[in-house]
Amino acid sequence: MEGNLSYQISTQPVRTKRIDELYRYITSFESGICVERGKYLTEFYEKEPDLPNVLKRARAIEHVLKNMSIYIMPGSLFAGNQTSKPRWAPIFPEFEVEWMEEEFIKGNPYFPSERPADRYTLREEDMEDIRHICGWWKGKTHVDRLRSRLPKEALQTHYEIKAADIGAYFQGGDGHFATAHEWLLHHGLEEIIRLSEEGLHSLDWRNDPDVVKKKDFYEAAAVTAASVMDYAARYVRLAREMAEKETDEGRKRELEDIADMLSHVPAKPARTFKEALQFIIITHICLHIEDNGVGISFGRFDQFMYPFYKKDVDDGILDREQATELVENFFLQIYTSNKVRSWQDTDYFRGVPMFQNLTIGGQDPVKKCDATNELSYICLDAIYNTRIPQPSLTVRFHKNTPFEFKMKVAEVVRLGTGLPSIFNDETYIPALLNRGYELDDAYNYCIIGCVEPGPAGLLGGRTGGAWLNCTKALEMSLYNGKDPRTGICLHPNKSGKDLVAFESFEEAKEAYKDQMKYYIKMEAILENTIDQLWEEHMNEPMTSVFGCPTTTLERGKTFKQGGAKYDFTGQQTIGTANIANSLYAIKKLVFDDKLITGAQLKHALETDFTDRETKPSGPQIQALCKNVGKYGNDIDEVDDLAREMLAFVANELCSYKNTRYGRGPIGGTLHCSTSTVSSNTPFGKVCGATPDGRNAYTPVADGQSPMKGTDTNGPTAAIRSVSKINNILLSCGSLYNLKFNPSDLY
Amino acid sequence: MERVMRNDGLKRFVSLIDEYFASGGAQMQFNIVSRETLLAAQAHPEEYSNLLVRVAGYSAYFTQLSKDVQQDIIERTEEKL
Repeated sequence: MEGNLSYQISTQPVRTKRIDELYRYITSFESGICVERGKYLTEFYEKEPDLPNVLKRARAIEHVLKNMSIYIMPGSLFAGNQTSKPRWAPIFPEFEVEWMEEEFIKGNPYFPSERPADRYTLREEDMEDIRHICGWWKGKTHVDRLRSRLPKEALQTHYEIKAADIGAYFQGGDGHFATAHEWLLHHGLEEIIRLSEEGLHSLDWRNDPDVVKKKDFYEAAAVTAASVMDYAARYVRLAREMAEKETDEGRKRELEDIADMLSHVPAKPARTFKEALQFIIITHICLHIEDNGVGISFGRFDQFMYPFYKKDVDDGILDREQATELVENFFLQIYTSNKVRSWQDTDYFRGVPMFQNLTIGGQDPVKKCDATNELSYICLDAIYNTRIPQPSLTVRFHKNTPFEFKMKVAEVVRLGTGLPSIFNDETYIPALLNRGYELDDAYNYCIIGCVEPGPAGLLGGRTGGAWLNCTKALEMSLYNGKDPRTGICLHPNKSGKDLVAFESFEEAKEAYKDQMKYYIKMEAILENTIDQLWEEHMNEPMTSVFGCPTTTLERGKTFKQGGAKYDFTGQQTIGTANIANSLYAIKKLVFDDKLITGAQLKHALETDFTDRETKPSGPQIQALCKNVGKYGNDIDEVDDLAREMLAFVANELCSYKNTRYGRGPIGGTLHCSTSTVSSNTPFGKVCGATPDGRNAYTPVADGQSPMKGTDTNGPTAAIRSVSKINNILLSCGSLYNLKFNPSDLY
Repeated sequence: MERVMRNDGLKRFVSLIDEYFASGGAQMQFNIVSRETLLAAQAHPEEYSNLLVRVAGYSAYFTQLSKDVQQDIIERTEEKL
């Protein structure tokens, strides 16, 4: 390619007129805030305060689905909308209203439409509802309960020191699971009602101490399934009304087709490829209305949709081109969903990501052979042509992935949209087996959210959780456990020493591990308290039955009560490169080569390498720090530290149980990922200068990637370093970002 | 989709992924964009409103990101194939 242009700019998508118009229609909407969900939910909670929590939730969402505005987009072959307009976000006041009050009403620090990034329109006419919602919920939300339940040190860890941040789960929603679409498509929602009734009939009132909870669950499960069917029925009426008024014969038929499809699904099993897509849209969107979570993922789309595709092609009612258009329409439809976070929380989620992951490729779970099929290619074409950030496409590679498929993937990656990301079965499958997954389930993993593996329809818990700021823990270890930014000291080093007093590198390393251990405990307290309160107040019937119908309906339990087959609490570990580089710099400069003392280095860090009065001066010490070998250049000594320190965190996390341990699921522990989202920027803002030469308050390294600008020996050396990490321990996912110039991928 | 006949760069790219995965790597995600394009997008956001990039674990419109995250992506090491 000529020059340095982006392939996104120099190549044109191939779109049908319908897809092009739909793309233009959806992307013409600015993000906005829709008050309807919050309003109807509040209306219900005001009226029915005494229902058991799981049933209250089911009925409240039923009330929302009954009353919210619905529409069908011009030209779309499918129906299903999350809010009153495309790309508008619902509100979830049951989690927290303080930030809404501050931002929506007072404009502190910004009104949503005036934010420096991630802006949302908020209509003046909705302000009265917003005021009422904020007023009613004040003091009754998830976050209010969390503040009164969490130990002070855990709150300080999150709010003040920022050694961990779990704001996303304070302000709302778990999400982070892959829906059991395959099961739902083949059974229909009526089957959930039938199984719930069966569950109610077979309750053991004589012996079961949990029988009352189970009764509540089954009643809620039936309500939730029926509410989604009723929501679909609203579109049947709307589509028929629109068809009646439609003058264009072609469009009239399309609208009638939507009505026909939704008269059948999601109540009954899907009969065609198109009907299956319509089914998925309805259940997926309803899940996004129940819960404020993101990362609600589609599973192995090319696998569970292939039988529908094949049958329709064999029956002569579908060809590849039509299927591509349908998949593109489907992608655009799910891109209309949106969420809104507090301004503070958007720092960690810059660019309004929804993490609606969709997996293709990989292996057959039973035959253990390549499973790539025509639909895998169709999905790649659809991503190439739609050029929107959602769904987040994942491709699974394994040692027998066909070369042709890999080249096709590379062509789509070359566009530079960041899609798809690529995952290695040969590492991910052993990582799951190491956590006790059954072999076929491990082979059947999909990616959830960013990078987290798990089998769709079987994994509860949540693959997301707190961000763990390793750089902060390292920094505090150099100050004997005191946070230099806030002055808070929650946990002095076991040795009682700081960087001035450490007598060996081993002491420095042990101090870091000691701090890390303490803050991992804080993380576990945060994670488990959140889940405990969730279970006590906000059990989610829809997530539970759509997320893992086979075991939740059998056990009569929600996810939070231990209803899923597998259950782990995920998290994100940030700053691996900074830890390895900083420890290595201390080792080399202070202990091996003795170029500076611990006291000199500490002073340089405290003054952000600016003090020119010392000898060597601050800038000279920074240069020394920067010159020490860095992770990302295939240098064993520093790479070994990266591996050792990350493995330490992963093993420590896994030693903590979650609130479902021993209550049914396989697993029941915390586990580790190196997913980052955009947390490396806000985490950097709370970390002072570090011995790797990084200046105070600048971003830390993302994922398990080398620190930006320090991997200077080319990509082969960089990948050798990164692959020395023991990725199998990262059963909640690995993240490695690489950047290339488009001219290299000709 | 337009097929590129002379795709040595792409083949090298695929080999790099193969090599990483063969040595125990788990996941890779990419930005395929030049510093010049990103700087131009920062300077003239209205002309680049459709430009998608990879942040970390997801894609987003570059011009809608905050300045510090934009900068973080601009400063990431540009590897040579």
